Amino acid sequence: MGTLAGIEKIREADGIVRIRFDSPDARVNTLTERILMAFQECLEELANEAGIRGILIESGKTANFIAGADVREIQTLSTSLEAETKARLGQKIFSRLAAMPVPVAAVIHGTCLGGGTELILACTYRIASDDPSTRIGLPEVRLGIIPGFGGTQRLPRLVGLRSALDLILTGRELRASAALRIGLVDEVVPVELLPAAARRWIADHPVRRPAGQRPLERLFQRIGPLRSLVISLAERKLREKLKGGDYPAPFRALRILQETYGGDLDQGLRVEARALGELALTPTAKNLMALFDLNSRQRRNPGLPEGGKARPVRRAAVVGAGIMGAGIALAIAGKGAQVRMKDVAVEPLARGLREAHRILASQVRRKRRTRRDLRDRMARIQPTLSYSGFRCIDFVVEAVFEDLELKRRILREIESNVSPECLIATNTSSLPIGEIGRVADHPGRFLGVHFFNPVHRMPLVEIVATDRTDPWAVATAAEMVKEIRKVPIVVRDRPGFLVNRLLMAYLGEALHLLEEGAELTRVDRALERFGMPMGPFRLLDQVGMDVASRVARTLNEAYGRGESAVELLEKLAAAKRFGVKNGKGFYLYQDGKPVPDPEIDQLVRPQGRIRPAGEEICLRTLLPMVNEAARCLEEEVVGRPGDVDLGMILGTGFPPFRGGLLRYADGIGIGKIVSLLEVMASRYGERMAPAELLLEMTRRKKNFFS
Amino acid sequence: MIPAKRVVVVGGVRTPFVKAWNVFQEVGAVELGRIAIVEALARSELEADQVDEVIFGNIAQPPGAPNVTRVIALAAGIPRSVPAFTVNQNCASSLQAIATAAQRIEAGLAGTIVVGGTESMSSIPLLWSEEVQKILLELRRARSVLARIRILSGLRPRHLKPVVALEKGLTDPVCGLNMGQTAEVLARRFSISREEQDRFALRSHQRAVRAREQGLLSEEIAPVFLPPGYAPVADDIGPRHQQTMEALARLRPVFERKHGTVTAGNSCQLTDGAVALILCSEEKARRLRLPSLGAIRSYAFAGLAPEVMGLGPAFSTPSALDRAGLPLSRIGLIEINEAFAAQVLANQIAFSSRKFAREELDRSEPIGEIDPSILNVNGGAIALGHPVGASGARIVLTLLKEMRRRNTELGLATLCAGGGQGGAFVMEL
Repeated sequence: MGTLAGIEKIREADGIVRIRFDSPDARVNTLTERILMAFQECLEELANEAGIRGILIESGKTANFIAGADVREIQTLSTSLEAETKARLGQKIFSRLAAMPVPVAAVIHGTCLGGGTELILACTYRIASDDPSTRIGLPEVRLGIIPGFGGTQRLPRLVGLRSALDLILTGRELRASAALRIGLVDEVVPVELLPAAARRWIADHPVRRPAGQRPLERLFQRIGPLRSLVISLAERKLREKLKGGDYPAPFRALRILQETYGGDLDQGLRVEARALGELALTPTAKNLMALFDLNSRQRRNPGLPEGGKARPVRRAAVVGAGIMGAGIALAIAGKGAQVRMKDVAVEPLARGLREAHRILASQVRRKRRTRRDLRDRMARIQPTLSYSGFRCIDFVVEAVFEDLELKRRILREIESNVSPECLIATNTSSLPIGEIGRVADHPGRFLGVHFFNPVHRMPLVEIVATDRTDPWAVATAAEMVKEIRKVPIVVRDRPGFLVNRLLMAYLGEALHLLEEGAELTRVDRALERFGMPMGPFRLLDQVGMDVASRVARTLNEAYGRGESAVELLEKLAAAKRFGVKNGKGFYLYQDGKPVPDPEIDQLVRPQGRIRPAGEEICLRTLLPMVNEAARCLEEEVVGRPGDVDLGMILGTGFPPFRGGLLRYADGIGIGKIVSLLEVMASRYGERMAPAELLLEMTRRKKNFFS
Repeated sequence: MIPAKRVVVVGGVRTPFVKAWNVFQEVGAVELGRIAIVEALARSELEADQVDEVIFGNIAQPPGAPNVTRVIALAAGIPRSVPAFTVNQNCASSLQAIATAAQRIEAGLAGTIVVGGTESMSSIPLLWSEEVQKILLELRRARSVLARIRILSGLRPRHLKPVVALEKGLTDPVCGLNMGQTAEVLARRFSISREEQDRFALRSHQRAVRAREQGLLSEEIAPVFLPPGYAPVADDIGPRHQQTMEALARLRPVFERKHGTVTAGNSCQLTDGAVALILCSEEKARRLRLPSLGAIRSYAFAGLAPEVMGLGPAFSTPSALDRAGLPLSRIGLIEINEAFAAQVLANQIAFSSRKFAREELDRSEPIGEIDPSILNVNGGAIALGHPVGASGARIVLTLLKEMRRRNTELGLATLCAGGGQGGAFVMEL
């Protein structure tokens, strides 16, 4: 028995050796270089030892097998040669594993991702627990890279080309049962029976014929054009999904498979390592890995004030059963908690329940959820017309119509029906939280939350603390948001909070472009090409001019940077151009598809005709956002540049491959941005004048992310 | 009898009662029971983890949930550490649930118990006849294909006709009469005419309709939102506004075609519904500052001949009154579950009959006169329906709500149960 930096070797009396991964001081196992070296040493020793009948590879963690390579190590690589060398090292060790003279069984319980999956691929047998925590996948493409420890080679050989493509290109994780179905694991058993099952495989030592050796696969391996057909089908699907974003990794993976599937393994491994080396240094990989960091940091600390300790939330309630209220209630019910949903009349209450049911039913249709799950979740939403049951509630989310007076009245109602310890949150996208909370008897337990629409799809929640909100309340709300599997970001109570304020700066500038005479399809196309999920005018149509004009009005009153844009939105709202919801906005919608509307010019009344280049459109609309973000940092709306980036990616779909708004700004250079803004300010108006923070950063030659 | 610890009802609510095979057809006993518990707890502002036990009455066990109470309790968010069980005493099931809970609280074994009943008469399954069951069983045992063919050749078209478990359940296996026939026995024995029965039925509808219009019933009802459209059902479906004597008179007797008097119109309706009550020891209620709806003063159950099962109230009420140390004259409000008009009317006669007291109860004095003006003042099961496992708790709930409204000090809730039993509760404010 011996421990070598997180690897323990346990010799059993029956000639079985257990190799146990257990990274010290960590919640999950990662394949750091040190661990890999220790593993190699361990294998070398065992290979030369007599009397060993088999090897089990297991984890000492509770719900984790191996989470993959260490992202931080990849981030520190500065040349593609280093990256390629690192991949070669891993490949060599896993090839050593694959060539062990005795059978090796992987005992998989918990998450098994990336390098972990590549490790089990090099084992003789893979036995997995049926626990829901057991997930197997190759998420490398999500970090802008590809599997580099043999994953692109051993996976298709084991499960066949099409299953391998599905896993490598999407990065999705499989449950044990699904992994068994495609032949990625050999057996699935309850966790208690794992060691015995793995030993049985070693004792029986059967010869397996993997899916990758079936006749059809043979054809894919031998006949290049046939292989190309499968690959090009996958490629088409991929292009549709990524819509032209700069995501080179999955395409590179496709080319590797086209080139290597059916060929020599060693040759294939070399191709794989070279590709990884190149990809690891791409801006996309750097950005996606930085985003990964941001995400995990945000989970640890969403920007909480000092001294707040979250209190347990056992029972929750939602007041207002509209689209937002129903979505929030459903999210809470999904966490397993009972949630009371109150509205003033039967019809809105029924509509809210229908909305929740509709979302779940569509998930059932897409096989994302079982009927039983639908039934159980719906049963946790308790419709009510009165405040009955509210005395026992720990957390109320008010989600009534966005009207200051109404929200105040409801806040008072809620306060008189709950215990003094109950946390009360108002859900709003634009109303000032402090103003609503002015009427509160206990302002310390009152705060704002901003769920994005549609709640079940949007992962971000802004948590808005007023000057009077107690730290425990912020911590409790953040914890609750995490529990319903969303990402909290704590912001200060300034109009528009973070996301809408930035978004409005961008949309406002797009509207100015329109007034100056740019074609709206041209503007949309430029920003879609930049990577935004939809252009500004399609986005405005999604939001609806009624809502957008109201938000714009609020923000303009607060910051006064776009009166003419607000007026244009109000004019469109008055012309009943509400957008997608009534089929008429900047575009006309026919069967849900946008088509340009020739009449829009009569409403906009452009000053002339301009044809700005795509690049110019992007700078013109994105730099005001950067500028506004700088002001947000000055005003401490959020504390960290990372908050801005995460907020924009999760809240607006800002292209992840660009790493976020401020990382994009760093890429352009702050000095250059300041000059651009100064020019634009002189041309288009003072609203574009660079923020003080940007000027200071230029003087001190600093970036948002040093 | 003065209970060791006084047991109070701190809250209660029921689902609307809906005729079987109507809108609740697909809702089922579990969901109805869940809604009743959730709303009862919420309206009492009681946290689910304050509950020590759950006891529900249910007769037609859903095949997928044999101990239906446990399934309901978990669905309602009651902590899994809280035990739950189901009692079956036919129509007296939920009265028995209340009695059992009261005993546990009196004995200091529990502080708060959620009781009630749930019944989905729509979901009572169809069964294969015994003949077919035998064939299917043999088929399963058969080894060879030939043997299987031989067995299958014994199947006849008549075998396709299922046995309606509901009909079977409503037929007494001891005396062989179905429940309606036992009502006919009472009608004959107590000379109750068809017209008297119809008049009683009409009154039940009129009172229920009035109570519904005045919003009295909705005070005890939690609406049920029906998926997938989630249209709410907020009212009982049974009470008929336009009910007339003429319409009742047109109905044919169901149970004895030729000479009978019991019709669908003067019998209770087959119904889906659930009721939940929260029982607490008086001291715990005070500690949690839970307002009391009323307290249990006494209760009793009694057995009698199955063929006259409808007289259950007349057999059980005297013991309950004795235990309360009260004469019937002190009771200000009475609920007798209306299984059949003939059956309630028979009890009214029996209560006031010295002969009945002497011969059947071995008492020298009659139980007492029932004043029709205090009997089932908001209608009864003929109008509202009779979800068998839930009705006992329903009459206790309805009684308590009306006692509160009228500030009546003492009330009686009593019913008959198939198989020849009766149960009676004396309640006090």
